[in-house]
Amino acid sequence: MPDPAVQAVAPEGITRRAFIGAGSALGGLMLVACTSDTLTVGPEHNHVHAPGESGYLTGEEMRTVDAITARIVPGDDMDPGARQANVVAYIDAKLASFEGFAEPSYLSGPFVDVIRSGSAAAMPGAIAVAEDQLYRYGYQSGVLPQEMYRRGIPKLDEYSRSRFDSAFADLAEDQQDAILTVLDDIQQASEGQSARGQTGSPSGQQQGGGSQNSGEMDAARAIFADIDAGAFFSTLRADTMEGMFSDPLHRGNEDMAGWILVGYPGIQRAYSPTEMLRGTRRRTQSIESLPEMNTDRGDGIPLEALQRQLPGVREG
Amino acid sequence: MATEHERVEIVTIGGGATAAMLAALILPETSHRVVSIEQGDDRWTYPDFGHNHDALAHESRYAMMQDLSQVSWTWRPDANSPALPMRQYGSFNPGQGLGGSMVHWTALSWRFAPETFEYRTHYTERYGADRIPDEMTVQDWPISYDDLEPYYDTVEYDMGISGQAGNLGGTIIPGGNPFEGPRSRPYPNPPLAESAFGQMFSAATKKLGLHPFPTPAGILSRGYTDRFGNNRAACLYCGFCTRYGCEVGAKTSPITTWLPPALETGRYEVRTRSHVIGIETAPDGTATGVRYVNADGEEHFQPADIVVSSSYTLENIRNLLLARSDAHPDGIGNDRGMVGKNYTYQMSQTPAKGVWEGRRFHFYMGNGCTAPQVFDYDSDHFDHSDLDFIGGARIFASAGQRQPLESANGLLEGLTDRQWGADWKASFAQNWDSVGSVGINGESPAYAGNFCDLDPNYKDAWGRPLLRITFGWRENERRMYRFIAERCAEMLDAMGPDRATYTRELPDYRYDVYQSTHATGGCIMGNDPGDSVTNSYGQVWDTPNVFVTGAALYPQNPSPNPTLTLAALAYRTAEAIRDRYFDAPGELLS
Repeated sequence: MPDPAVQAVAPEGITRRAFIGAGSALGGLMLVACTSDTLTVGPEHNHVHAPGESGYLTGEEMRTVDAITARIVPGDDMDPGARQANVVAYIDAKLASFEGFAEPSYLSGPFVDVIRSGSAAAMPGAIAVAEDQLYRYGYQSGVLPQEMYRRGIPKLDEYSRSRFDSAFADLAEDQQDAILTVLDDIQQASEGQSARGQTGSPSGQQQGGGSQNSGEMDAARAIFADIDAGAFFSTLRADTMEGMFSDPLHRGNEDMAGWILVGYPGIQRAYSPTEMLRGTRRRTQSIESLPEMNTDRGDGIPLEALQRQLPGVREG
Repeated sequence: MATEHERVEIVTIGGGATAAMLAALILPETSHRVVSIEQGDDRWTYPDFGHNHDALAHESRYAMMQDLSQVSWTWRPDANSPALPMRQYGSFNPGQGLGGSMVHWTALSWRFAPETFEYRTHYTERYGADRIPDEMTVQDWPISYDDLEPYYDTVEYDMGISGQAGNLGGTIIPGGNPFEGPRSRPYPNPPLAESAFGQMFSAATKKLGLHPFPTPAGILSRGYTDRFGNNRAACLYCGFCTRYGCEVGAKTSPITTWLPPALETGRYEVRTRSHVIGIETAPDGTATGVRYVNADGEEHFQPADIVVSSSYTLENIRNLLLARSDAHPDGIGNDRGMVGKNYTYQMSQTPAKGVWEGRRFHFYMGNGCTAPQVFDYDSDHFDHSDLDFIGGARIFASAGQRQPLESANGLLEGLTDRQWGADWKASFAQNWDSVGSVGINGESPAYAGNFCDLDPNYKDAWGRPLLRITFGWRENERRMYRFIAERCAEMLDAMGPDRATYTRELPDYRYDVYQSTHATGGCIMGNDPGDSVTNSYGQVWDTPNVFVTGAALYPQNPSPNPTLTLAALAYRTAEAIRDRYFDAPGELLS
């Protein structure tokens, strides 16, 4: 059998660019100085997504979410990021698929009253938590994802206009980074970590002095009001990562851009002990390309025998 | 009106690991019947795990975990703070479904060290009673390592553990764990394959004079047939292990091992999608059976001679606390107020992390056991005379099964300024497979201030109070962590990373971040009803026809993972029920 990694033609269902990307990720095993992105070359990316199509988000919301994801994992056609991987389609599909959370969640009340330092005590009978301790308990707000997006996006635009006179999606990239950095700082401050003292882009470009930071955090907090600006950012960040790095089965990670980025061969059935030490030459693939199990295990047991569900287990 | 079923000898709350073990060990040699009431669905190696390599479903959306919308647990850091529910998975991940959490487990399979079983006596004799802080309520187990060794041995062979013996009958074997207690036989299978990073860790720690050894794994390194006749395949190192069911049955679980012989008798029944809502008692306080609600919402009653609470630690505690009656006003096992005491956890942290620029370690292969361990700083294997704490931690290199999705949420924490943006992306692309760490699982001693009771505010889907956990680390653990973290830093530095980040202080316990599903204690075993809930068989002192299985029995949490020991204890309990209990039903076993 020919080594799949050196086959000359791309397999069905995978773009040429992704195929080359996979090859280059494998190249990284041997040419350690070459990362997958430096070797990735290919035709211009031309993905098309139809905003608002049968999902949850409106076209305008799609544009904003796409812009956010494009700053969380930036990219271009030579080095795909969240926009090229169509992460916004993943997020839209997720929001449309789940009225509440995609994961099991306990949503019974009472919900908590947050006590800010220096403020009066909570309503009698309410469960009150000091603001600086809240992070230790995890999600407690009761705000569901659809609401977080629908109400958070206008707040983001309002904060963007207050600072740079345009909606978020229309800002320059460094301005977008500056906005998201403030939200990230708010999130980190809520976890007891000091904000990093600058409102620059993550690439280090200063957008303002360190002294401006807490002022910007306060300004953003005031505009976001009852939507937690830090939670809005971490929701967007987590959803972007899910759309970038989960199986393309779930509609993000288009052309397996996220996996090729890091040199992950995706879903494989098995690796050998030798591969564990030396690496592998497998082509990156989705779970949808995984072959069926070899159910006979070489000893002639028919499939039905292996699929037996033992008697004695039944719904109560 | 509840549907009442025919009386059986044993009913278990939960169709998980210890329930299947009891059934497999008790039924073939008796005419008894066992019924398990399981809240989750049934699932089988074929076909349910054949196509499950989906990180989003299993790791982000918790496909195999208990349904939090039905039951959760509240937590507070101390008795003066408010308790809030775990609304989404954080600190721990208990499973549900046929086979329980031992289907999605990582399969590290430890024997506890001999001194673990005589904890208070050991530390008092070696260092003096004043070394144990007043608030620390650690105590001895009611059995010794030697008592449990034959059961450890049998369980290891039933599970086909892959590992390297370190102490065979008192003789230290090179390459194994020299600190383990003497074992009567070597492991039935050789260690799993080594990883590239693991080899580096072993070489570095050997140079430091330490004793690295391969992780003993409940995952087969080669084909294996156990005494029940289960014919099992070896591990494929596919990289989808913790939080997944194994598609070839190489990872030992109730499905691979105990359910087949138990179900084959025709006298074991598991009723799925059914939730136990109460242990019923007679006026004299004896348990009569369990009440449950099935998938259609209908109430049923299953009478039984013995009720076994075989759930996850936290639900075992709650099952007893909720069983309130005139005979047991504070719940079964709680006549002396001992249920919920000595709740402990496992200190799971990553003190040292490094980047080896340009190296690829293939972390996405393998499983959670394909890494070596160092036990030189675990338990009391090192002299604490001049130290300001007691206890220790097992230390290990990062293992396999790394996923890009899970890595995006923290792999580069401490190594990049932000966890998003262009710099983060470039570093993630470059280093995703080049970042390795030295991690720990450390002890959690028991304290009077760490305990579980019923929550006054939050209810489950059936209107019953949730369990409330009161838990926080203490000064002893902060000091222990500081010492252990320095050792981890030395090990990491000896591996020569290009860059590194260290966490030298123990962060406050938080409920929202996954650390470990090894919650222990709360229904602890002991020699005396005055300081424990059960005897050494897990038999409840004040209600001897109720048994508790699992890690809720542990008086405190030793650092190594709990599963092999809770299996050995379940084997010992099964033997006692099978051979002796029914000679004098309702009497305490001695």
